[in-house]
Formats: sequence, C-alpha cells, structure tokens
Amino acid sequence: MRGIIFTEYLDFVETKFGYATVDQILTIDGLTDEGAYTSVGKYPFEEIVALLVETSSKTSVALPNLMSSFGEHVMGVFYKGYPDFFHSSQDAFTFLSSIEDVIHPQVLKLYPDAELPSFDIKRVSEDHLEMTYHSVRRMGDFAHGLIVGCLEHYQEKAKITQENLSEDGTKIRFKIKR
Amino acid sequence: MAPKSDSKSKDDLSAQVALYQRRYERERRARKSAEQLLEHKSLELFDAYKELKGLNSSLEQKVLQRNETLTTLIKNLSTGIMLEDEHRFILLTNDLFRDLFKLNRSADELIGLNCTQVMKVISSYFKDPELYIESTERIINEGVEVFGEVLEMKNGTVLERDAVRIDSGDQFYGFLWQYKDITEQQRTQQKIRDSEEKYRGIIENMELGMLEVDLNHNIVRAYDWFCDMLGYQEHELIGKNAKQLFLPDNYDDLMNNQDTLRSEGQQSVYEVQMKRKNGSLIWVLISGAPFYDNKGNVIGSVGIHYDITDRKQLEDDLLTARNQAENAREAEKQFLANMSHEIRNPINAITGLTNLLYDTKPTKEQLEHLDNIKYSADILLGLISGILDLSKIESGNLDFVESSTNLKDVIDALIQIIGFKLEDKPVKVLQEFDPNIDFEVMADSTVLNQIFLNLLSNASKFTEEGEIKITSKLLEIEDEEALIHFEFSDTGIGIPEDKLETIFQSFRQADKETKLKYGGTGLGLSICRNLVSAYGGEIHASSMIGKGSIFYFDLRLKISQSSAAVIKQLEITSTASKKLLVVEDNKINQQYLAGLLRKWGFEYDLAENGQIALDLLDKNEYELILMDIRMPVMDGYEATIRLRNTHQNVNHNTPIIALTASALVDEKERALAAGMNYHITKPFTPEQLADALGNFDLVHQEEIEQLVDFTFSEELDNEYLDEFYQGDFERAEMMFQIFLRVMDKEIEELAALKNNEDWDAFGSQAHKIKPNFSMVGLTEISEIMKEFESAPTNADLRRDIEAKFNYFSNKFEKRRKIVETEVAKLSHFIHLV
Repeated sequence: MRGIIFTEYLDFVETKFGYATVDQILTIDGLTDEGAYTSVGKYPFEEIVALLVETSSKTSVALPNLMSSFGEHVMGVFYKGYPDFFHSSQDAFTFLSSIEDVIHPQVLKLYPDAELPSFDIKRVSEDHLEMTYHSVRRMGDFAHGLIVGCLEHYQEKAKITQENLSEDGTKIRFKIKR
Repeated sequence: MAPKSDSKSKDDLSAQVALYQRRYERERRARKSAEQLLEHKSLELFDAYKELKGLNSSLEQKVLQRNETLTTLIKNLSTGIMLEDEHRFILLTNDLFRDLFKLNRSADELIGLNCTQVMKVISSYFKDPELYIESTERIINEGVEVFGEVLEMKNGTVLERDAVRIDSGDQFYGFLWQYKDITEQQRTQQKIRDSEEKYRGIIENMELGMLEVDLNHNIVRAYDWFCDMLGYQEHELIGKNAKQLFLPDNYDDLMNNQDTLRSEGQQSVYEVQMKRKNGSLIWVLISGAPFYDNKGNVIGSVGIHYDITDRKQLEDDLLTARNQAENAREAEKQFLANMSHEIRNPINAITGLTNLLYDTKPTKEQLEHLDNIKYSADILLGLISGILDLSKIESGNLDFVESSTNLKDVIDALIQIIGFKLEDKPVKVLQEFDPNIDFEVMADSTVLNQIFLNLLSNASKFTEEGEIKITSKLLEIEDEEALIHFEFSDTGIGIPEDKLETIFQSFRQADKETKLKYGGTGLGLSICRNLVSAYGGEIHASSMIGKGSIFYFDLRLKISQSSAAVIKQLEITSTASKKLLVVEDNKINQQYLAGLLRKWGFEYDLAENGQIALDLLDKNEYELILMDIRMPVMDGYEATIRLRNTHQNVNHNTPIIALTASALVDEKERALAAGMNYHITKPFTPEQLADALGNFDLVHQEEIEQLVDFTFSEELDNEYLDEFYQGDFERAEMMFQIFLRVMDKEIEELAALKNNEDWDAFGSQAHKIKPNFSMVGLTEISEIMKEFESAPTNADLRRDIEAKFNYFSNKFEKRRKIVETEVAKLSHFIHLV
C-alpha cells in the first residue's frame, strides 16, 4: 500500500486524537521502520489494518466509523493534490461516476502496481446513483467515507445506504439518493 | 497543533519531551528513508532515460533506413509511383513516373507540388483527358481504392493504374498512385487472342467441331461447327452433360477409359456414335486432349470432332462388297477345282476311247470323225488345263516346290518332245547352252517345263520350216544366285508389231485368222508371262513378219548347293509302336507309299476310300493316318470330320496327314479346318513324307554327311583321273590349266618334227607329252602318243603318218573343248569348297 495512505492516516489520527495517540499506536510490534512512514514509500496492507484496529481500541471509536472518517479525510487530501479531477465534474454524481473510467486509469499511469478496487456504476435516476464496490481489501467503510467527503466537497446532501452483498465484505452496494 | 502540555508537571514535561523526541526521531528516519527512496528512484529514472535515449536514436536510425529503403524501392520500381498526402501534395514520386508523363522536373523536385495541377498537365497525354481527370477526382472524392484501371495514352501506350489508400488507424494519410506500362502485355494478349482465333478459325473451316467440357463432362464451350454438326445452338448446350446428351448408352466403358487417360494428361483418338438434336445418329472421330488451369491441374478436356458418317457408310459398303467378292472368288475357285477334276476325267475318257476306236478298223469316214473328236477333245483338255493354271497363278495360290534342277536336262527333254510335235516339218531344233551354267539351280521344274514348253509349242506351231533355237546364257552370279537369260527364237510367221503386247493377254491371239488357221486357246503366252513374273522376271517378244519371232526373259535362280562337295543322306527308320492307316484310292500312290513305309519299317493297313477307313478305324487303333482328299464313296474331308466327331472311337485324336493333289493353298487350309493335323502335296519326295512323319515323332532320321568327289566328265577317263588325283581337285585344276597353256606349243613342235621327218626326235617328243594327255583324262590320245613313240622303228607308221596325225589333230581339237569346260567346272568346284 502506498506510503501516502500511511502518512495521511497518521495526520488524520493526530488531528482527531492528538500526537500522543499516534505515538501510542506506532508502538505496536512489526511496523516497518517502527512506523517512520514516508509518503513516497510502499508498505504492507496489513500494517494499515493493524493501525486502524489499534486506533479503534485506544480511542474506543468503532472501526467502521473510524474508517469512514478516514475516507472523508482522504477525499480532502485528494482534492488538495489533484484539483483538476474535481474541476472537470460539475457535481458529486458526475465525479463518482467517473472514478472507474477516468480517475483509476490515471492512477494506474502513475502507479502501475497500484491495487485498486473496482466499482460498477449505475445511474438509476437523476437523483439516484448505485455504486457496487469490489475489493479483496474489504475497505467498504473507507469507500463510504470517500463518498461522504465527495458530497461535502460539492456541498450536496444525499442519503447513503450500504448493503453487504457478500458476508466477507468484498462486495458492497452503495445507494446514494439526493 | 501543539499538544496540550502541563508545564507544571515535570514528569509531564519530560514525557512531553520524550514524545517529541520520538516524533522527531520518526520524522528524521522517515525523511532519510524518503531520501534514500528518492535517490534510488532518481537513479532508476536516469537509467530509464539513458535507455530511452538509446532506444530513440536506434529507432530514428531504423526509421531513416526504412525511409531510405522505401524511397529507393519506389524510385526503382518498374512502375510509375506517386504518393500524395491528404491535402493532395506530392510526398514522393519516382523517375519512371516523371518519364511516363514527360515532366521536366526531377522526381525530387516534384515533391511538394500540388497534385491537382500536376494532374492537369498529365491529363494532356491521355487519349481522353477529361475521362482521366473525372476518374481521378472521383477516386479522391469518394476515397475508394481502385485497382487495374486501364488508361490509354495518345502515343499508344496502355497504362494500368492502381489507387491505394494510405490509412493508419482512423487517420487518412493520402493516396499512392501506381502507373504500370502494360502495352507489351496487352499486345501479347492480343496476339494470343488473335492466334487462338486464327487456329479456331482454321479448325472450324476444316469442318472440325470443337467442344470444351469440364471434368464432369459438362459443356463449357461449344464452337460453331460442333453445334452445326449436332444441330444445336451453343446456348442450348452450355452447362449440359455432354456424355448424357450425345452418347448412346453403350459407350460408358469407353468414356471411363478416356477419362482415365485425360486425368493422366494423355490425349487419344477414338470413334463414337453421337446423337444429333433430331435423334439421328452420326459417326464421329474424336481427338480428345486434357486442358489445364494455370497451376497445371487438369480441369477438363477439349475434343475435336470430325464427322465420319460418310466414311463409315463407305467402309460398310466396301466390307459388304468385299465379302461378296470373296464369296464369288471362293465359288469360282471351287468351280475351277471341280472343273479340273470333273471335266478332265470325261475328256480323258473321250480321248482314251477314241484311241481305242482307231484300232477297230474304222471306215475312212469314221476315221475322219474320230480325228475330229480327238482334235476337239485335245483342244478342250488344253483349254481346261490352261484356265486352271491361270487361275492358280492369278490368285497367287501357287505353291512353288523348288528342288535342285538341271536346266540343260530340262531343255533337252523338251526338245525331244517338241521333235515329235514337229513331225515331218523341215524344222531343226537347236540348243545353245552356256557351258558356264555348270551348276544346278533351285527351281520348280514343273513351272520351268510349263514356261519352256509353252514357248516351244508356240514356236513349233507357227514355224513351217527353218529352225527353232533355245539359248541359255549366264549373265551374272551374285550371292549364290544366277541371273540367266533365256531366248526362244523361231523362223515362223512372225507377229505384227502392234500385237506384240496383246499376245500375252488371256484368250488373245495376234488375230482371228491365226486362231482359225492354227487353233489354240490363247492362254499359253498369258500363262508364260504370269509364271515368269511369279519368278520375278519379265517376258518380252520381238518379231519381224515373215522372218520369225524371239521371246526372251531373264530369271534369277538360286544356285543349288547340292552340287557342292557335301551331300546329306538320310537314314530313316520307324519309331512307331502301332500300325499306320493309309487311305488312298490311287493304286500307284498306294504302291509308292507302301514301298516307302515298308522300307522304313512301318506296319500299315490300306483303305481305298473314307468309308473303308472308318470301318478299319472302328476296329483297330492306329498310330497315324495318311489321308487322301479326293476319293470315291467318301472323301478325306468327310472321313476326317466323322472321325473327329466320334468321341468314343479310340482313334478320335489320332493325327491325320492330308495328302492333297492340288497346289492350291486353300485345299491345305480346308484340310486343317476339317481336323487334319498336317498336309503334304502330291507328288511328294520320300524326304517330305519322312519330315511329315517326323512332326509326329514317328521316324528316327539320321543324317549321314558324305563328302562327294568332284565327278569328272564321262567323256574323259574319269577312272584314271580319280585314281590319279585322289580327290586333290586343286592339283587337278592346276594340271588342267597348265595343259591348256602349254600343249599347243608342244603339238606344234611335234608337227614340225614330223614335217622334218626327224623320227627319233618325233618319237621322243611323243613320249614326253604322252603323260600330259593322261593327266587330263585323254587316255585315247595318250594311246596315240604311245604309237607315235614307235616312229623311229615303225615303218608302217611312218608311211601312214599324215593320216594318223590328222586323225590326232582333229580328235585333240574336239577333246580340248571338253578339257576347257572341265577346267571351268573344277574352278567353280574349288571355289564352292
């Protein structure tokens, strides 16, 4: 997993809970470089999962909520880093619809070894978008946060319902209704 | 975002410091690790850059090379090339393009020019400039590729143009134009077409119908004459199955055969009947050959058909006519054969009985009638014999039986016969026989007799006084063959010059008066001419009215080898285990056969006719049957057929040798057809009979070779000569030669001594030459010399010496000729040996 996710996560935890929490979660065993992550590095996926679990246990924030919040945060980071993607879409639905066909291909250009989730996008009606998430990483809650962050960015309000299509969380349908 | 702190608590503070220290430490390590990563990345980037740069320059090189190659290729193509971009500007062209349209710029200088303008210049070279522009613009506007467009130029050049669209993905890059000069190709094609047309025309004009079919016999092309021949229009035939449409059913095998030949690439000629449209049949001669596609596979065949219906009709007619003619000829032959048998017998009876009547003291009037009867009967017999001979000769059915023949003997015998015919006419018959013909020849003596006798009879008939002379002269000897000239001259009435040819035709004489005055059938000379030509000669006549005639011809005859040193004698003995059966009605022949068979050790039974033979065959088992053909009661054919059809008879398969009296080949064939196994013609020699029996392994023949001594002439003392030379004939020849060379001189000397009456010397000379005469077989002269030897003491002799010497001289002159002939014979003999 890309280093930027780790550095952004540590920033997120520091913002939410203070550096002391960051300091605490980095003490768990087996972290690469004892948690001295750099955004240009690349680290095992298991380490972010371990950090998330550790954070949840230290702060008593439920893991899904934690992941969703982190998703919101990352969306903000994306905007700062790649504002052009956002400018080319007029609203949240347009942006979300373009993830699979426009954004992910661009990501792969920069990071050919990136392991990206895939989305089936279905525009049910003008105000209703259906996104089906597929990933062995089971980061559906993180995706939920990204959707929330996106809506916030476009200052739109919508109701997001999440439906597990598989028990292990590798396939999740999001229904977004404005 | 400073962490909350509590400066009051020292522990807190120190914990705070430791936290920061850890944070700082993490940050520092993260930076280091980032730097390291970045440094590594940058190195990777640099390497990648270097690699890319290298790749780039090598690609550039390649592109450059490729460009160069393409340009060179295009420039050197044997077609005019012009490449234009999507805006119709020239990108590339070659010299040939420039040359085709006589553009006054180099190929490189043309690059960048606008095609629309160039096209206008080019168009003026085409026969139809507007058509060219129109076609080009259509291609450009519609953006379609065109291949093989043929354009004619004003100067006669024919161009083939291809327009190739250049695209890469969705991008259109322009057009590639290719102009190819196909003038020569077109001319060649035209020539081929012309030539094809020419030969097709020739074939059609030769009344030959051409048809092309595919491998399944479906018609691909039918030419005019073929259509006419079968009464169709071409469009009615295309696609139809030729085999089903034209051929009657019975040709399946033949056509399968033809198909096989075609598939093997072979051509062939065959005859078939074909159905015309109106249902009638025609006969056609077809010459069929396979034809090929350009890869060499057989894709069908082409047949040239020739209508031979008329020819077939003619063939049928001819066959019918031939059969009729053959039947007629067969009937004629049968008639003639029967006539010879059936008519000659009664005539013989008439002549025989007439002869008997002469002895019955007839009155003068009766005698006259008898003369007339005999005369008529003789004429009739001559006529019948003549006709039979002629028919045999003319039908080519004459088997020559050649045997060693002494020509002089033949002629001598005939002269005697003719002497009787001449009765008391004052006519001398002379013979001039070339002494060089000192050998016998292989000839059919019957035929020679017939030729000579006919000519002699003619001569004697037409000669009232004077002489008849037969001349034989050896012209040359080559390859054991002698060419001999025969001449029969007379001092008779002669033949008018304009009749010299007609006299050789059947039933033609010089004129009617001849026939009235001299009689005869008019067949004799015709038979002569035919027999002479059967022997490869040609008879001619020359004549002077009132002075006489000469008939002459040359015959080439094989020299008989029996006059050579070795003769072969056969000792014949029977090896048969059972009796033979001789079926023969003629008593003389019976005795002849019986004599031979007895001599060789055979046992035999005799049967007088076929019926008696069959009776005997029922009772006894025979080794072989000798069967005459013509017999009373039952003839040989019938007896044979009956025997061969009686399967239970023990003699059912017993070999039969036919004894036929006729030289007609037919009779031999009929005998074999009736079931006989072999055939010999009467009269036969003992050797011929032995050979015939030998075919059935019934005789043992032992050949005894005998060296035959040269026989000296009987006019010489041959006993003495044989003893003297002991078979050394070379020495004999030498001595005879010497004798002839020296004796004249010796005798001259003897005569001189006599004239001088020098009797001692005379006696000595006589003594000296006495043995010389003995050496050449002149014993009688030798005896005279013995008497002359006594001259010195013999007064009586001296008194009569003139008369005795004359006697001696005359005798010597005559004998000397014999010695000369003998020398020639000896030389010939020596050469043969």
